[in-house]
Amino acid sequence: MIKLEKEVINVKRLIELIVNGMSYEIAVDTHRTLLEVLRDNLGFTGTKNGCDQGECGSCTVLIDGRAVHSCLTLAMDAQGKNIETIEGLSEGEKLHPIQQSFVDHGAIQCGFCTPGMIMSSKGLLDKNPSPTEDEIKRGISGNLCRCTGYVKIVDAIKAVEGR
Amino acid sequence: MSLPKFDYQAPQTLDEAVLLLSKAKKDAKVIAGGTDLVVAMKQRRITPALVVNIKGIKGLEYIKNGKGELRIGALTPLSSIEESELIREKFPALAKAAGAVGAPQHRNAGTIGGNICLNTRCWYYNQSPFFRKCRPVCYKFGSDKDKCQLFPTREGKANVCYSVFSGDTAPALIALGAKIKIKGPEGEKTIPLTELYTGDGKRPIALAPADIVTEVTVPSPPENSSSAYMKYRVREAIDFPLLGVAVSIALDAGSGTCKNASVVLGAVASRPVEVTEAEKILKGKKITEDLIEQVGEAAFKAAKPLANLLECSPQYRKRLAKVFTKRAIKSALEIIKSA
Repeated sequence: MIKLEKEVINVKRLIELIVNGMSYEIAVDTHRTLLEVLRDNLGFTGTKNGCDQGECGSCTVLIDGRAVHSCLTLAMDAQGKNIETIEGLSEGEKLHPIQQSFVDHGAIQCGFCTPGMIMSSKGLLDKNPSPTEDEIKRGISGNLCRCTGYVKIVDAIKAVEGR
Repeated sequence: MSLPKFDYQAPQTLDEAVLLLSKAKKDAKVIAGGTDLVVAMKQRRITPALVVNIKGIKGLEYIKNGKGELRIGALTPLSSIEESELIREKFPALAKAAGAVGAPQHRNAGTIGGNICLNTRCWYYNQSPFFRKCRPVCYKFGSDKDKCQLFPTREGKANVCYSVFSGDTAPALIALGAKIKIKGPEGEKTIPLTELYTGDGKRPIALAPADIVTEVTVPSPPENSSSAYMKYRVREAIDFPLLGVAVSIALDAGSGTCKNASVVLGAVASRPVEVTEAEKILKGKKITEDLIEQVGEAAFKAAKPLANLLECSPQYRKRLAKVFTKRAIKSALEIIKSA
């Protein structure tokens, strides 16, 4: 029958993760994904756990400036790299221009997809500060939103201040 | 879903990686981008005892042009290939195919080496442990005693796995005549990309356990040539292909007749399918509407999709192979004309 788990001797390893410019030294199991470590070990629960299979994009974080699924990235693989999560965007009470634009345009409804959506937008806008509508749609094509119908999200990204 | 436990190694050099893999033999897996393997491990389809991360190996991420060929390091992310001006201009099929893989997040993480070594897919195989527990064990997952769930009642015939090769870049690279460099315990070898695929869904990639793909080389296209890739999927992002068609065509500068033509279909069998008829039909002739129709017909005959991808019927995918082949040829011809 289906064999689900194999016996493997597992030892925790000490790794250094750089999240939002802060360095964290933690002991993790080698089979932990970056998403699990961010949420469970470091408490960055802004990054959401949706499908856990790289389909929905709600776990999107930036690693070295590129948007990737943290649920498909091993925590071991992320050591020493520059990880940006949604928590790193605002400065205290002052929202990041992308966050502010999402609020202003009503691009948030239930809010579950928003952290991933904003990280994808940031990855896009950092590389291409004035994208066309098609480029925006392509840029966020890996993020599912079941509430807004995307129109307001695209409007919000188009209107980001300081573009 | 958490991952099954495994031992983890991150070698710094290729030799070290090959040594680790050859010592571990069967139970080890190579991880680079992880977009295919991590999902497989989460679904407990693959449960390796050792995972070897080759991302830390330096000097395998590059796009170089020179000496009549394009060289791409195996660890180059698909997004770099999609964005490369050189590839967009000279190898449009490859740029298009790399840009059609998954979502932006997949392309940022996923590598070209991983995309050509993609595992085959099937509705009965790519499922959660719960789904699989409720059904008889599928042949790709189980042993020789288990039946392919697509034809569970077929008696007296050898078991065949019909899972589908769903990579996007492989058909484009094969149409462009790509070769790959493989590093193994016995040293380095270079083989045509088409020899990487066995056509057997149970073991689709002809790599030994300790082999690592290190480089993809594509010959520079001749003058007056172009290529195109077309992909069909239900959503415009994230999805695997239900059909992929890659075409590359070279015309004679003076007479305008066809010098070389290659049509490769993806997602219709357990390996990329080369439509060998296409070259016979087109070579040495001026390409007309009638000839394009004939090539489309040949692609229709070569495509043998089955009902193991459920988003649309195999009949539809087979007929679409003809339509997409014709469109891809026309779009390649248009690029040549406008150049």
